[in-house]
Amino acid sequence: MTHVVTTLVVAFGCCAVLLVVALLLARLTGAARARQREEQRHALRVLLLTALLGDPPESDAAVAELKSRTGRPWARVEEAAFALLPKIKGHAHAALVTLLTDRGAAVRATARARSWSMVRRARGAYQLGALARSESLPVLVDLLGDRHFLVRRGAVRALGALRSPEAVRPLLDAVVADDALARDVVAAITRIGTPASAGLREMVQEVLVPRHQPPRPASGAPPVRRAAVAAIGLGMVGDVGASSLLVRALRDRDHPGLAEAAADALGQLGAPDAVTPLLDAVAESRPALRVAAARALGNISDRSAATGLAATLEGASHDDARAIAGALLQLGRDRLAALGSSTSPYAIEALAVHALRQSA
Amino acid sequence: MAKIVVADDDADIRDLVVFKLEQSGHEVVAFGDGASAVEACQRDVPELVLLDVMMPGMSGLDACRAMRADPSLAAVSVILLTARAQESDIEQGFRVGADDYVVKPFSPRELASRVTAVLQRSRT
Repeated sequence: MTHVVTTLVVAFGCCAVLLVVALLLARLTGAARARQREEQRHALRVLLLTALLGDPPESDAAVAELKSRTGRPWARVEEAAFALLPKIKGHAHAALVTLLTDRGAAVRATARARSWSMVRRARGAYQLGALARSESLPVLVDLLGDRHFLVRRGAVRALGALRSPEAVRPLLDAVVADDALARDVVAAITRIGTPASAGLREMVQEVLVPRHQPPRPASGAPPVRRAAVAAIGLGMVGDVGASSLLVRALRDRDHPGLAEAAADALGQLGAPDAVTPLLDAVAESRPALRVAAARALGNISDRSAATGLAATLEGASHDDARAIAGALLQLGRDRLAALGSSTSPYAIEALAVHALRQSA
Repeated sequence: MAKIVVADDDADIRDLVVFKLEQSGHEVVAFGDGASAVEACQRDVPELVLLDVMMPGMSGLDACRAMRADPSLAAVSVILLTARAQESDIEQGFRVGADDYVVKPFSPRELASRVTAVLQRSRT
């Protein structure tokens, strides 16, 4: 009996030791593999960098080496190149795009973007964005309607990288279909920059139908959310010429959400001609509009707004008072006087926070 | 030519910066985090340090602060590398004592020119 127990204990001990050794080996092998992979990636990066930035004859040799690679070895180069592409600009970026497109990377990325696999489609969208070729616009616009959010978001980002004004309307339509894309769409439009202005103005304009025109049937009405994001976009691209259109949108009371977006955009633009309509908006009945208008006045930092803002501080609700006090803090020297003369607890809170920040 | 320390947790950027600066004739040592870079600077004082702002552990801003607080490293030129291009971010970079600020993505040629300019300023 004792013999059997001893044998079992020894066997169990051996198994435990073997298990520990196996785990250690697996860990060591994994670490060695990771190190080896990183070394391979490093060697590939150096090869790519020599081809892109090196001096002849080393750069010529590196280009020849890259051209000789096909199949799996080239796929590794392509992977390393796509990882490097969004991190560089200028001559090196252009040379890397040329290298990739010459080897058919754009064709492969387009095929990936049309793949049945969601992961491949997302990767295809990323790669088309990294290459930023205008020919990719229709494929990426199609991906905005993909059933997977990650693919749609990848397409939005890629369209931003293309910097084509033609992408503006499809991007804003994508927000109407899926509001979760709004932040990425605004970022994409910001990347497109000034060329996006005309399209953005058009979409705000479409909603602001003059009163003498007959109202459109509901089915043909342009979506308000699209106009609201377009208004935010006008602020982000810095279209100062759109301030009168945005003031019209700020005064609009027929489309909830549009006036708030216009207020944000006017604040972003720092439009001084918007101070009076924004002060009027601070006294409006819609809480979201009051807060947006106060925030915008703070961003514009026009001192003439101090008295008007301070007057609305008394008796304001919690959220409004916080926004107004925060705006007053941004209005230069007059702010402290305006806040100091107020009896609102939010004015006292804002002054205390300001004092803490100054002493930090 | 100068001795330069580079700290960036992104291996692509690290290799790119090292390649370009070595090509310009500098002696470059690279690290994946701010703490290792500061330690290396304390062991062997470089002429210039390139720090990524967003790094795990000690950030580039913290590393820059630590260097400015150390009398032996206070005179070392610092260039911050970052994807954060907001006015306030740049302002913060200069506040902690950086000499220049390079926004990602960057042109390798522009980076090399900025390094040369900062080195020239620090030598005069």
